[in-house]
Amino acid sequence: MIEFIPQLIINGIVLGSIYVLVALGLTLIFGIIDVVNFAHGEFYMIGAFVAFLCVSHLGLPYPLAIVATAVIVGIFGLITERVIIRSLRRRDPHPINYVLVTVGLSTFLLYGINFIFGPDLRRIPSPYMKQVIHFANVYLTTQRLLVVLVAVLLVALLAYFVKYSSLGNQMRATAQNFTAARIVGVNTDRVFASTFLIGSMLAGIAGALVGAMFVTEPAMGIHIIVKAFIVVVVGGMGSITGSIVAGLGLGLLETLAGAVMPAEFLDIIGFSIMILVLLTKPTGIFGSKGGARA
Amino acid sequence: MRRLAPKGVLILAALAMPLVFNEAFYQHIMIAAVINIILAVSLGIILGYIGELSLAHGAFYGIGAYTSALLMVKVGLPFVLAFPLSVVSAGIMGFIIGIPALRLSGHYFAIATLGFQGIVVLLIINLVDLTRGPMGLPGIPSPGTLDLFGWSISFGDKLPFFYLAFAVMIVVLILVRNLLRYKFGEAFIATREDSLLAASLGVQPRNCRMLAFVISTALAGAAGSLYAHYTMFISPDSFTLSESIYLVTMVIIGGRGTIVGPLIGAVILTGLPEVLRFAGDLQFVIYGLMLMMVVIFLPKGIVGFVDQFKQRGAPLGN
Repeated sequence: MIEFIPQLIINGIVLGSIYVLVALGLTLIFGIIDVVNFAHGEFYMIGAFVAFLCVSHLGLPYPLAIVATAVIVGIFGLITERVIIRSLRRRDPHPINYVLVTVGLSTFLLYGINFIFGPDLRRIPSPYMKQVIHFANVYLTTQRLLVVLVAVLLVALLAYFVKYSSLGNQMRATAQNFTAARIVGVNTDRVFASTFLIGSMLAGIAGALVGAMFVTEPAMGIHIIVKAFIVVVVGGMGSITGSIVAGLGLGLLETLAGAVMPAEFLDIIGFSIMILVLLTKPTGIFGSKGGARA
Repeated sequence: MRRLAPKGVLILAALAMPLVFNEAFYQHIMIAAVINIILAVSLGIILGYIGELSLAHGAFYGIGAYTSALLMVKVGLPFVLAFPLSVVSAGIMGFIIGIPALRLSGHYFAIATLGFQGIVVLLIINLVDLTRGPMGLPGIPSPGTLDLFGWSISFGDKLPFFYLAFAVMIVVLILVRNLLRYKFGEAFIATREDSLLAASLGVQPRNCRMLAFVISTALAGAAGSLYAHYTMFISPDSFTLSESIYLVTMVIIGGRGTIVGPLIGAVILTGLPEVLRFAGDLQFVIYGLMLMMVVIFLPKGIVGFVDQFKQRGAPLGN
């Protein structure tokens, strides 16, 4: 048993990196736009399908396909923000309308992709799946290493961008106080659009990575969104650090506990932790913004 | 009396429907519509009157269905006992889940109910000894037969079952109408609009929200019991998140904040799959699109649209 632990920890970090990539987009969109994007999992699913088409139909090399996916899903996120979220925001709706509209979008995309491609399980052909690295008694494919490296790179880029770039500063200003940000001349429409762009790019890249490692199927978005909610709620809605810590934590917990108990009970535990956090500290462990009312 | 007349005509027309369209296929759709009306109207209390989005209504529907089915299959209770007990058990579950969930609102309430929905389905799937898990629970008895002055009415047949479900639906509609029309409706709306102000006027927002939530979930349990004894087979697939979303879509398309709205939404979304049969799997794509369009362009749903139209048609200076 003990000798498996290093392997389990490595697997947990790989799984956690995926959760972090997906949860970051969700938490950014919530923190800055105040929208809980229930269709975020579908962006991830579309990412996997775009990468699949790029590799198997256009014959692009896999690394290039990931870049293409980021661009295409990013554009898709921009369109979503422009067409759906912005036209709803103009009507100054009750907050649950955002949830409703993204739930509708999620259903639309899930069944739309299902209608076009069918529910079959596919896998993006990746050359990195065949290369296995091993040291001591830990084995991992280059694909898994790639997942962790891409996650580290993107998290570092995002952290730098949010902290030091002009647009990043505008984002943080908008998140802190929308009205005040507008008064000092922040173009909030541009901030919202960029947030959606970044969030959907991250989800799309995660999809392109997972679609090669596990399977590419229309329902993959539903499986991940639930985990992403757990991560975002526990880490604190709107908190980048929180999502990173909670994402890696959930990944590690699932692989370590998964060695001793069935996966279904893990999901029940995950949901229970989420609800417990919502009750005791709705802003999450690292969150500061918002909070539950009433 | 005059105000009751149109409703009476509508009810009579609905009662005559399965006699006119007496093919089993049409009767099946009508029974499904009645069950969906109970579900949508009950969800409408949460969505329209306490103003929260519950994504767990399908779970309470499932709790009612499994309670009723298991009480009849394993304990051997008759339907007249299993039905009310399923209503009570769904209501009790609503109360237990309501204690934590109702302390939250907005996004957080929606996410918490999403979590509960997930837990309930996972429990149904994994408590294999009790529920037979993903294989589903077959062999659920029909509500049985009623001996009435020498006539024997079997509720295993579609026509009597329709009238049974219809009677339950009418009771539910009257109950919800009375709940919302008198004291509580005003209090619910006051809580929805401004819970602090409502509290200062002597309304207790916590109690109001809990009352609405428990009644809503209990009624979902009633629908679940009817469904279980109608189809005689239930499986976790019928009570998933997509079912909850489907029910939310009914309420939103019909129009939240009314009783008629969810009713119309339920009828449309039950009938639509039959009209859209040619579209096959595309129908869910259309639901998603409809949900988005309605939320953006017609936030008050079909009922709101019709009201707007009526007001525009009304003479000026009114």
